[in-house]
Amino acid sequence: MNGIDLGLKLCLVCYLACPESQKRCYRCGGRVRMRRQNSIARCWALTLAAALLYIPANTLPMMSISWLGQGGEPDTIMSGVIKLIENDMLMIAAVVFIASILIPLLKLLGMAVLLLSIQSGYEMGLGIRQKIRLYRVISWIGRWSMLDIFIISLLAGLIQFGQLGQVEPGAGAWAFAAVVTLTMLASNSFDPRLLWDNQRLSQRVEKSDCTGGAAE
Amino acid sequence: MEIALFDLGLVMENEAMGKALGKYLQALLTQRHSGGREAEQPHELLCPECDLLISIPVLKQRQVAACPRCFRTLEKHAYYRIQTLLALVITGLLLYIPANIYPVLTLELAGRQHSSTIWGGVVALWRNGLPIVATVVFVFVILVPLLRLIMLLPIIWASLLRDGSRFSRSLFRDYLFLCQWGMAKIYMLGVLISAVKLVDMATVEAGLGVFCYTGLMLIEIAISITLNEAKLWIALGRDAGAKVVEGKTVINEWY
Repeated sequence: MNGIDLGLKLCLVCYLACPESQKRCYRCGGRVRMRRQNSIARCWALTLAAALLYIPANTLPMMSISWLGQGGEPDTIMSGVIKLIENDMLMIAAVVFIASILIPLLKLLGMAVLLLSIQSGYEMGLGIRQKIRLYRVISWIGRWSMLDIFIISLLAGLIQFGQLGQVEPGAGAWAFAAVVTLTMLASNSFDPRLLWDNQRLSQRVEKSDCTGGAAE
Repeated sequence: MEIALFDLGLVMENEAMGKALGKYLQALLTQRHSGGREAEQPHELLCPECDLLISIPVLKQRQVAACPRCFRTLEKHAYYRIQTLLALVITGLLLYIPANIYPVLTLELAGRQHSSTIWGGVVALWRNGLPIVATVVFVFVILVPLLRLIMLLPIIWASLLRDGSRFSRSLFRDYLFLCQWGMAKIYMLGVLISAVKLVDMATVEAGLGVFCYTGLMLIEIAISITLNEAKLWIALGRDAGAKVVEGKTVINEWY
């Protein structure tokens, strides 16, 4: 039995079930709704904005390091990873590549798949449990992409030797920070209960189809 | 030792007041916050991720209740005492100060030293024309950990007194919201990666700040393990949930 059938709304902060007529949670005073408000529209807006910003985040320079008269040319995320590989720092290159390129991309694609499957009702080749797992991975992994921003902040604060060595953060950093924040907001505004509602609806349709067929 | 003697003197001086104070403090400190009877009873709740109505039995030690349909963890057995939480918060606040005052990393090049605190990194971003990124780093690395610790103090106080005001409950609500935005672990990984990156270029030394921030991170993890939301909510106010019974619960062993 689902809460929606019983006329119960769950407060998503303190997990108290409130009756349908209640606008604010008895216990914590936050707004309670049957489902998150405009979940799909908000989530699409945030995901699309993040997808647009993903382009400047990857093409604009993240930072430029000049060291003992060498270097000084600005690095994008990818060229930074390539430099790390050239310097035989494979592990770090892998971590930066996964955290800064792979995870944001997978988050965007994953959100799009979840939203499309809710809107169209297609399974998209994934079972409902796989979709729930996908949602949990996306919302857990999201914040780890902030890694690159923190590294830039540390290096920029640390390497301040003027002629000998200097780090300048580039314009790509703000686009990247925006991508990470927006995708985190998107996964926060997504309501996984919609996935189950969808399944329930499709089951109901199947059932009514069967009974309809029998009647004929 | 001296402090203890002084305290005793104070109590001796005004015996009646001392006794009252002692009783009050004892009542506060010996109160075991197993949450009272409300939490020990089986109760019903809705799964926050799939909306299934589930009845939860009394959990034994190391047991976790999970949703039978989507396997989301719903409640843990509560073994914590509010005093543990208070100790952790105070430790965290004590660690927070040196973590922000002392440098995170120190770099030495051609006889010149340069060290940077967390705040130094924020300022460097701001000066290089990235005020938004600087704000993001400031909020996630400096502000959120501090707010999370400070906000817990009045919450713990209210739960010790068993007097959940509307204020303490909305504070706890905001606290739970901030929990999603804590990034201490990620910052530590960032420090580690920057240090390894710089090792080949110059002499790098870890500052006192990095050790204190690591401590702060561990305290945050300990708090998130210790804090039992369900029990704290019960301690903070009256539970006026609906009573409808149906559905099953899966009990998993928890280590």
